Amino acid sequence: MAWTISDAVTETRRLLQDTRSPFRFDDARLIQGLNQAMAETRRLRPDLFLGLDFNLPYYTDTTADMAKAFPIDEMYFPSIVDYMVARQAFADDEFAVDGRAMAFIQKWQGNLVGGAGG
Amino acid sequence: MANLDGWMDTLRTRLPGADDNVLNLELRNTIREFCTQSGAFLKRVELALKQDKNEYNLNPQPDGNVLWVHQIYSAKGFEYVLVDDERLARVGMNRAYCPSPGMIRISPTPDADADKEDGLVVWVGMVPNFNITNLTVPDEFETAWFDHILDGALFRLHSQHKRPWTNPMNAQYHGRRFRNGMAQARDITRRRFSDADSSFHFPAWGNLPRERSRW
Repeated sequence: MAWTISDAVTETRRLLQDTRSPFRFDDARLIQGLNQAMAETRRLRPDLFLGLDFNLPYYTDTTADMAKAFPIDEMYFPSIVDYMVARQAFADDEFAVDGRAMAFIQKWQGNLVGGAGG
Repeated sequence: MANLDGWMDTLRTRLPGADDNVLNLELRNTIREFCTQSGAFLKRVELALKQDKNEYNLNPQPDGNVLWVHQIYSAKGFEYVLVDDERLARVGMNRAYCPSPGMIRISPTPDADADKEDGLVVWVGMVPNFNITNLTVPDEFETAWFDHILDGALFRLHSQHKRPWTNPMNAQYHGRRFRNGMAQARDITRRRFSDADSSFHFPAWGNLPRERSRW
């Protein structure tokens, strides 16, 4: 089964330990993180957007967008989620653990441009 | 005709992290370079002559575009000598000149008799049509030139900048093998896959005795 945008949001919440409603991070905020992840990924790895004619996808928290398929190769789904987690962890003053955010951002970057193992 | 699956599967296993789109793109680029440099995509094109018409365009073909003209002969078996523009009009034998890729100009100009009973058979080197989604290549690309094309694709992919599969040493290795492979394919294609004499002449310095070859 193909991953969707909604799956990326769910997985990000799980890693942020934010699975109980009401959520600390609402959908709009996480989707904004996803859009930023795509922009940063497009900068480092334009080849992943070849199938999209190099267009940058942009999503909102509407039901229609949440149901859309993950736009790039699914082997990079975990990397995009890593970036989304890091983005929220950096911004979350109250619960911020910078080391964890850095670990996620480095994992994202390593997977994109580092060795095959990340 | 063969599809690209054999190459794609091998590239997927050797280049973790590369998605299919980029593998397919570089594989197509490799095939284009291979065809351009070697002329190994051979095709026999038959051409009907028309009275008083001495220029014929072989492009486009259904499966690509003509880049090289290897050989031209009439349907009766008389060979046309490929010459430059200046020597085209000289009398005495059938001559042909290629002013641009896929375009041939012949001399003498066909008269009314030639139109009825003659035609041309042209052996050409093609470049595949890359606009189609499911690109196919001649079977011999898979049976004879598989490794050469694989080397070319690996060379291009390993030499990409800052990717998980970037590897300059491997790029150099596969690049050298690809260039050698193209030269080999060019030579074998010109000799039509046999031990026929090659038009390649070993350079003069290659036969010199060791003492003389030092300079």
